[in-house]
Amino acid sequence: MEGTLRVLNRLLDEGVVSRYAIGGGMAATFYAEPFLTYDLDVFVLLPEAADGLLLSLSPLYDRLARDGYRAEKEYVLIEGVPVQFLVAYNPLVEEAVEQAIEVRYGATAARVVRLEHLLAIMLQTGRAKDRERLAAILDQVAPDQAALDGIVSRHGLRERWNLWKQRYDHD
Amino acid sequence: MTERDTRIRQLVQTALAAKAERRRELARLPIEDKVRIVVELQRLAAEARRAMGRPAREPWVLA
Repeated sequence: MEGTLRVLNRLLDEGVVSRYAIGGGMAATFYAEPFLTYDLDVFVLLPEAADGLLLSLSPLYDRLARDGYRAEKEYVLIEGVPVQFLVAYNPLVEEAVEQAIEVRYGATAARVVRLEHLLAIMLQTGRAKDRERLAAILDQVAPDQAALDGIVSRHGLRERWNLWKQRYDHD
Repeated sequence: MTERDTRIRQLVQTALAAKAERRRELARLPIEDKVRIVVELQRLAAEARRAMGRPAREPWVLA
């Protein structure tokens, strides 16, 4: 996966993306036990389009294609790992990308969403697997409760959070 | 509740506690080791799906 991360960092250095952050199951794996996942979900912030047109992932795909990494269905296979690029699609995800932390994978830097943002995104997405993973993660690692509370409040997730805590009997 | 029920409940609770502790140990592994486990999970899942005659996604190919 280190080769994949090097490619992501190159996209950042070249300005193809203005920021990126790993999310989804792999971000969960950075913080907790390994989770079965098939794609490396990468949230991106794109540079402002000079012509004012809508932001598009096409320049990103074109740049990757020049290095031989071609899009297949919803992902691009980069150094043996299917990577799904997702433009930060709401204020919570944008904040998560902006405040992502840098970690090391081998000798390579990787940007990963903070644990508290990961939990909030799972809560917001709300699929069954997100709810289950949320419970598993909270059983294994302790988030910064103040930071999590702030994110939950800022992004209108208080009711969902309370419901989730009730359902999973979580304090 | 009979004594047997109590004993069974204790055994189950012990097993669940050990399982939870094992998961917390896995959470503390270096990320490189965790990714190797993810790939092994992908391989096992693919084998199981193929055995059931269902399409399977290929595991990641790590250098």
